[in-house]
Amino acid sequence: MEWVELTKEAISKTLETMFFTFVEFDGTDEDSSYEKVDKITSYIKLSSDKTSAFIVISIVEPLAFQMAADFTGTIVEKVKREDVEDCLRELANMVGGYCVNSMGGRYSLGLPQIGFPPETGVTNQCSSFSLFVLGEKFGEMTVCVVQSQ
Amino acid sequence: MSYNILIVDDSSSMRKVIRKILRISGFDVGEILEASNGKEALEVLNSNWVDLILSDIHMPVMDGYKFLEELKKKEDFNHIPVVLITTEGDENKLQRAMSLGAHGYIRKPFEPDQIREYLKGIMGEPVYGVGGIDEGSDF
Repeated sequence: MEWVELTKEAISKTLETMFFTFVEFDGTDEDSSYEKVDKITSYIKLSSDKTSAFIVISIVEPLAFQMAADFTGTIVEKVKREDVEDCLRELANMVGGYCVNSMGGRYSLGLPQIGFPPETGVTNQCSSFSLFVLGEKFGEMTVCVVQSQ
Repeated sequence: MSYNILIVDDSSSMRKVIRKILRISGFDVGEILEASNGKEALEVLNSNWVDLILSDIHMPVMDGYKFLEELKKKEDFNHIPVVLITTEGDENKLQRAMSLGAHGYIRKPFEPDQIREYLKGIMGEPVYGVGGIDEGSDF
């Protein structure tokens, strides 16, 4: 299975099971406020002998706070920024783990981080796709595959 | 008999999720203790009675494998069942964890019922209906 298809399956399964969010991959960006809203980004590195892959997940802040509230079973007013970052790290961790498992353990999982990976340069092979909920764009996922040196 | 349970995970959110699942599981759960890595978990074990450990594998400072190795060396603790709740996808690594003494593993993302099934295997039948007690609930 290709990386994009695999990560779509992974995020779909993870968001549905743990965050009660039903993600779609088709929708329209028209009239969307997506570009104007701050996002929170997490990533995880998957490594094998020959290649590494970075899975990067960006989610708009308001929904990220709501997801953190749903995940931990609290109300959004009680959620702090550090809780949201922790949840997004865990989301990246679970998506990465799902991919590793699906590929029969050929990759090993790094520790998830907040922000963008420092090692992905212009020469890498990256693919991105949008995440929608009820037709509205709320995030993006990028997978970058890097040949190991 | 109530069971004291130690949750070991570097994600505070995941610890919170597991804590909530335990509280509404219907089992007679006593104290729920937390640690963010294997090293902290060993410190918790030194000063608390624990009947069951639910542990992540991928953690900074001391990961789940090293934690299992350390537990195995300690006579006071090596009888405590350890269930891994992990994103680890490599079957060989999971088998290594089992050979180090893990009782079983649950892969994230997981359904709450998967944790209940493991609890049932270790603690027997639940004493309350599901959702019977929820101490410290935000709801």
